[in-house]
Amino acid sequence: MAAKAPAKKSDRGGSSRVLGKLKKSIEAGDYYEAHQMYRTLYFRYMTQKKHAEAIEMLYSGASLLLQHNQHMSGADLSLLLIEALESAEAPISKENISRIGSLGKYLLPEAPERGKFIVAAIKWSQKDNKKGDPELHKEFANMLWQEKNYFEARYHFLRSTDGKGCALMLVEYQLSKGYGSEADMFVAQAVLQYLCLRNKTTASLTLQVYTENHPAIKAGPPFILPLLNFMWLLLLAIKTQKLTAFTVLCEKYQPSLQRDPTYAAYLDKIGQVFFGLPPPMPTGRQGFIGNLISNLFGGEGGDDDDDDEGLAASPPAFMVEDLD
Amino acid sequence: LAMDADNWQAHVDPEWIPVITQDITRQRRQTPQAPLSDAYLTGMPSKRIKLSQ
Repeated sequence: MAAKAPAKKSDRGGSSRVLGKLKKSIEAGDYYEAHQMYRTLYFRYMTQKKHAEAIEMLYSGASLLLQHNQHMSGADLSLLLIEALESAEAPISKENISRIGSLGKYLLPEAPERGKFIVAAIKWSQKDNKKGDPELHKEFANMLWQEKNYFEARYHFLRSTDGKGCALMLVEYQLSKGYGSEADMFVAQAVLQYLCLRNKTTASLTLQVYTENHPAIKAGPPFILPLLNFMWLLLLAIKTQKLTAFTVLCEKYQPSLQRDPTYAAYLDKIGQVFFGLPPPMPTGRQGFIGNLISNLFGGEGGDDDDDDEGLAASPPAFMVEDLD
Repeated sequence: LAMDADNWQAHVDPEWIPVITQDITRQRRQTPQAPLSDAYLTGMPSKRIKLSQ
């Protein structure tokens, strides 16, 4: 034991000296050499089970290379970093999430490596939570929103607890890409999907912030648009656990709910999740769509814990291949 | 779950009644939903979109 301690200490000194040397070679423009050296050290550290050192070194190397516009080698080290986090079973800590977030912002949005990086990072964060870590989703959601990539931003917001960010993004998305008649539908879709994912707190916040900030909605609740009143009252019915109120709402707001045929299926799911209703009988077209959505959400025959796996694991098309 | 269609008021918070009553009237005047934008449609579950294509 006594002999080991000084050896370890000198190792650390050695690795910080190496890092300093690598930094200098990047600053001198010896990118190829530095990149190969980072890779070599990474495999050496991992063999020696020096996971923390490997992670620290890869983060520093990837950041430096990306800051010097070395996109390919920077992306390569970024992907190795996720690999290291995965095999080290590194904790989903604030530090690791902010490392991932900061590399994500440097990676080129159009490069295939960034998509891989996002998918791999979410996968790493899935060990405690099948949907992936909400804070990591928030990090990606806000990054994608800044790039006006609303479609992918929306996907990550729904798996985060950032209702405020989601609402403000949806207002911008609706105004720039949606139709005037959809002002209420954009938020209704998000509220119903948050509820299918059992996240009623974020659903409420999203409705509140969206309606307060959308220029076509102005005042409320109560609102002028019936679909928004439905969402508001639905959240109250869930809060008070009133099944009869839920039933009345679904019946009286049918004309609004029929504007999007998937709403009925979300509400079936919400009835099961929050009011203990059985899955609908598969009869006719409605039953068919209902079952389809129910399967997407993984509801069929599954335990409660597995219910949201379907929606959680049905990522945007660009991710399907990597996750399936 | 069967309930009298005329008796729904008994099943909700009294404060909701004027809101729902007014919305029932508003919905009768509602025009059919126009085709939805791509931005909206892409928010649907991805496998559902694939199956409906």
